Amino acid sequence: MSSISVTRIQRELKDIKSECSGQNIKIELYNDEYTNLRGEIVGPPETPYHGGVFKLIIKIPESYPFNPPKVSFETKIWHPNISSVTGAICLDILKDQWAAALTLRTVLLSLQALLSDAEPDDPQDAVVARQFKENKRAFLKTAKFWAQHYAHAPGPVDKDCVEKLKKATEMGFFKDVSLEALSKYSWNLETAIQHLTN
Amino acid sequence: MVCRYYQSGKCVYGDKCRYDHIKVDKPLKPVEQTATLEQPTILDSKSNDVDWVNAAEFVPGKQYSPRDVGTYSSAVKTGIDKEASPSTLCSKFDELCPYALNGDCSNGENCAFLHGLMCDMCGLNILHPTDVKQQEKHKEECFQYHEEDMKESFKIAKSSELACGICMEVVWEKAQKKDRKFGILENCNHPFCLDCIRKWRSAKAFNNTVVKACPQCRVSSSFVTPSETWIEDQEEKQKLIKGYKDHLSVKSCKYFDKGRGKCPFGANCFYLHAYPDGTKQDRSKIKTRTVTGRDGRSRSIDPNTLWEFFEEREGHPADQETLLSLLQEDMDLFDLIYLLGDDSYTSSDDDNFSVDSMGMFDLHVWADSD
Repeated sequence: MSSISVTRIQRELKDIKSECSGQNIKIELYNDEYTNLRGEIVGPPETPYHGGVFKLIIKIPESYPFNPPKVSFETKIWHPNISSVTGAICLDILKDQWAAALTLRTVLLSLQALLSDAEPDDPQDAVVARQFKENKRAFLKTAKFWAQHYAHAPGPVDKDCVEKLKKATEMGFFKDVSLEALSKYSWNLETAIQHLTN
Repeated sequence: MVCRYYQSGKCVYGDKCRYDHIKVDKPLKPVEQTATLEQPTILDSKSNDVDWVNAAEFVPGKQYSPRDVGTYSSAVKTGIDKEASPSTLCSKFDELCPYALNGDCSNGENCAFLHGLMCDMCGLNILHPTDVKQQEKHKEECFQYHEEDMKESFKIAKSSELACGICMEVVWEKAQKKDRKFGILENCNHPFCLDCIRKWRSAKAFNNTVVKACPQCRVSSSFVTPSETWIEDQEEKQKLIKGYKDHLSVKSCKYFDKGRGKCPFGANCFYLHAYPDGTKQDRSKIKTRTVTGRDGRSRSIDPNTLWEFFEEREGHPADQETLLSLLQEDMDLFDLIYLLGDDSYTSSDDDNFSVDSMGMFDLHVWADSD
């Protein structure tokens, strides 16, 4: 690993400790080589993700900061620009709009902003993006339920969702698979079950 | 060089003097106060006890000060200035004892020369005891010098604490001395070290508009100017850029090769395009070349893009792969072979360039230069 990326990550981690106490973001080392890090962002208020803690996998390329870090969601999330299956993120600054002066802190803050302001026209997850555009109520309901289910977001859980998920699991399907199907079909139990049995 | 003590008939070294003991025919002008004092004589004096720039309070943690760098050109300049104005030879300043100037005349009160009064500003015994005009003039000069010096000190203080926006290290505290240089962008004021900004601007993974933009503010600049100190003031920056271009414009372009070759940068080349007889190429006649790409579309070569490429390649000489990919896109085979043939186009001493403390241009070749 080139020394510039190591020294920069060291510096960034030091700065993050002093700067990010009030910003609901966290970054820490995952191994000793400064190539693998784990981040955490808290879902911003006035979004279905409010209060949820989303874990991120951060991989630092050797050419950092001349190339962007590889960031993906470890915690499952229902968002048009984040894959509901793999956690891959579609964000310009992590791809062709990267700038060498951007830091892990600014990247995480940008991700937080992405949670507040989705870009359904530049989707990572086509299913989620379609729901976002065509059935906003179902989208909000799903995103909130996912945040509560996977990211421990606070607040009363949607009873309809719990019930339908329970029914699907009682039929012998795995919980994650059932939730995915229900979410995909906007909580229509019949079509979801049909999809699962096919 | 003519001995000026011999000129006034009193050189104590006699035959052993290093300077020429000959009489200059030029009639000496009558003594003029102004002529004497137009020479900022104090500037040449290397009196250590009043070296403002090095005063500890101005330069926390500084590595070196450009003022300390005794440049060849400044040394020569001093000599010329002295010779060029013979009126100084028998001016009132010369009546002042040169030893007493620094406060160590062994003759004391018995000295045949005048012992000047001490100037509060510079601490030299330079004030003529009776000539009030000279005193005022000197004080004014001294004050101006002091102000310039303060400006310079603040510039140095600022430079010494700025961190590069890419590696985040304080530029003047980088491990390698040769890396302690700023790469100044034309259109914004974000500090980067020369190496980092050049590396970013040559990053292959991104679109040209992304890397040619400042990594902090994304304002685009077409080239990077190396500088030893941080320069923010627009006027000073323009001076720096002009000086940099001037510096390069006297160096012969290796691609133009005195008319034998052709330069891919055309009219935008910063280097000198001159024929063996010294006449310069008429750049207004250079056309922007258009080439037909593999996709069948014809487009013009942007000389800036290529210029940038070479400018950056200086720091990364092994980067032939990019060169190839760049050239395959934009150039025909002739140019490709032509450019690959010469890897030593730009030399690193082009970076050793700075504006000296008085705002005049000076080409420094640093002792630590690689």
